Amino acid sequence: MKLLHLLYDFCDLYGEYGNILALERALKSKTDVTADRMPLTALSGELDFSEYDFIYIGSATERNLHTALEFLRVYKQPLKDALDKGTVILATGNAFELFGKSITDSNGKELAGLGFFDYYSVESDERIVTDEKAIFNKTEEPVIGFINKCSNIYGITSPMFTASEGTGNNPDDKGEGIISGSFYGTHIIGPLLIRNPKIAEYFAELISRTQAPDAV
Amino acid sequence: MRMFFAVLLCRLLRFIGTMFGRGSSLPGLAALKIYPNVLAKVKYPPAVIAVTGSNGKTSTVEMAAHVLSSLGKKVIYNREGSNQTAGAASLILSNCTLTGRVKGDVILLETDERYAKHIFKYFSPTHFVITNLLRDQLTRNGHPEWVYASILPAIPKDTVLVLNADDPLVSMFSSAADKTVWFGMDKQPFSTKENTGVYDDGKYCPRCKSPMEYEYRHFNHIGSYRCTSCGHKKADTDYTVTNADLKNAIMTVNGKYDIKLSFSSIYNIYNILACFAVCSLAGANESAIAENISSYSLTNGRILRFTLGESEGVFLIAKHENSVSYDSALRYIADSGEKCAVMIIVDSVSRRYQTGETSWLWDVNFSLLKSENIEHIYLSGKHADDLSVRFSYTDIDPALISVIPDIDEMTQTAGHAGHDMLYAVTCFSDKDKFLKNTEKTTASAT
Repeated sequence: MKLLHLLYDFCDLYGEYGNILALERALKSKTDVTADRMPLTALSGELDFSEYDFIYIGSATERNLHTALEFLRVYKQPLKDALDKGTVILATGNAFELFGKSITDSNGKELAGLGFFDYYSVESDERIVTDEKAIFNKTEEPVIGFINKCSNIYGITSPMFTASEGTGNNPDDKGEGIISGSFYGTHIIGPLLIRNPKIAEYFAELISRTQAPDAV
Repeated sequence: MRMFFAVLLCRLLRFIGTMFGRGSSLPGLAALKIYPNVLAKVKYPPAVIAVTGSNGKTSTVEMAAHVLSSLGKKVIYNREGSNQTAGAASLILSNCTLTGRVKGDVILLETDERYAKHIFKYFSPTHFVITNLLRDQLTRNGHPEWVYASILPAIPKDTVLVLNADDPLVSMFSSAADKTVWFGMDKQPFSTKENTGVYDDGKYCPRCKSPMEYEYRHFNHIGSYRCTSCGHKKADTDYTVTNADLKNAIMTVNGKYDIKLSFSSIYNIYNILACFAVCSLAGANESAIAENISSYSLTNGRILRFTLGESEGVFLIAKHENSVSYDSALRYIADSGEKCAVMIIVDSVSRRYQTGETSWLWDVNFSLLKSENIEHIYLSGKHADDLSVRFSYTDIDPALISVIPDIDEMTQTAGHAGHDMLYAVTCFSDKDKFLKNTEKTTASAT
């Protein structure tokens, strides 16, 4: 089992490396697991992401996010190939905005996203900061977390969570984050999988299942 | 005429407020209501010094106020908690004549990072000190670059910036004003080549996002850096800690001014350095400043000692939601070398707002407590379980850790466990919940 923490040193706010640690621990009881940490400077030359069962990327400052987007755009196809082959991707905080159609910064400049999905994000000068209580739409489990963002996301029809307290993707939406195939995105920051062990367990099961056909 | 009424109203409300021991910002708020532009019309003294940044604002301002006062200057300064626009208005107007002239030689304004742009819409400080930008209260501050962007529009072109040259993000402010005075610390025995924190905010250049190289670091991203691409680097410093001897509790500024430390921490040294720069820029004699800081430091910068059950202890403030502050307290305990037990209390994350946000625990390098001299660790408060999970991801032996959420019960247990020495680590918000269980609290020099 191979896990990847993508841009661990660049999209590194709010102690979110805890997510990969929690997943590693949840998987250890089931299988052999290694977790690679990929820095920004490793994004050069040819890279194959489909060797990974799970790719994680976390929150960044807005400037880092925009820079990360420039770097990742070069690897759009290899990332898409991995996703299509069944690699599970979890993106937390504003990192999940990378995979949409576009990110518009607070000056109104539109940056093309990786374009895997049709949603788009709009940043502003105001931060939306709130404790979050929600239901994980896959299992109906309650989750707790925190949101600290300056953007609204539009155009998502299959959210990861349904917010009961806090905020959704935008002020008119109770839906928070996205699930599409094996892609999971949420604006809940911090070590979500540490605070919600059942979500960690969900991902551990999911990855074990996904990998099973090859393993036999 | 409006000035007259604004000042009068402010003074009157301040007087009433003092009688009832109430809020310091209300008088300013009222004065701003009847005369919104009042702060632009006041006649300021020759030195108006603003101090902002993540850590060290309060210490720097209080120390500088003390030093300048004892050197004969009339200083007007704000105390913690009144660092927003209305607070600044209260302070300034209640120290004005009825014609709007400030009765003092120096105004020192501790300024909230997020409010500076509102305050300095009306007047320019002569000097603008920025101590550092660190991960601090991210629940309200977003992240350091967000704070940077928030301070930037507050800087008037004609102010003299007084910047920490060792902080790559703070150094970026330099281009916002015509003149910058730099302070910083030369390489010291405790400086490291590598980053020692959990995260590294100095890995990439804040200007161009290319990798940076460090000649040395004092802590986190604070040190001597150089961008491999755009050349952004530590500037030559005007006020310099040329020697910092933590063991003998002494530091030297500009190679000739020795200052005694009451608390041997790197952060304290930076506060003193910033204070030295402020006082010098306000026109005080440098030898006199050094002498005064030494005596201030020995009488005020004291360590809080307590007795708990059979053990003696030392209380250390570590600000919740501020990993640098925590790392500093933890490093202090590990470096002390004393056989001891450590109590860590996280009950209320903040005293200003309600939140259950604990992601900052993952930015704290708790592995620093894996040290020969630390015999036991007590985790306590409402977030004891969050702490416990966090510790389970360090390589500290779980047998050394007790998780006792109830603070009273934890202190009882720790006080009667036969520890030679205790350290308590927590924030202002939880300080009294711990100290009420202790006896014979005294403040003393190291």
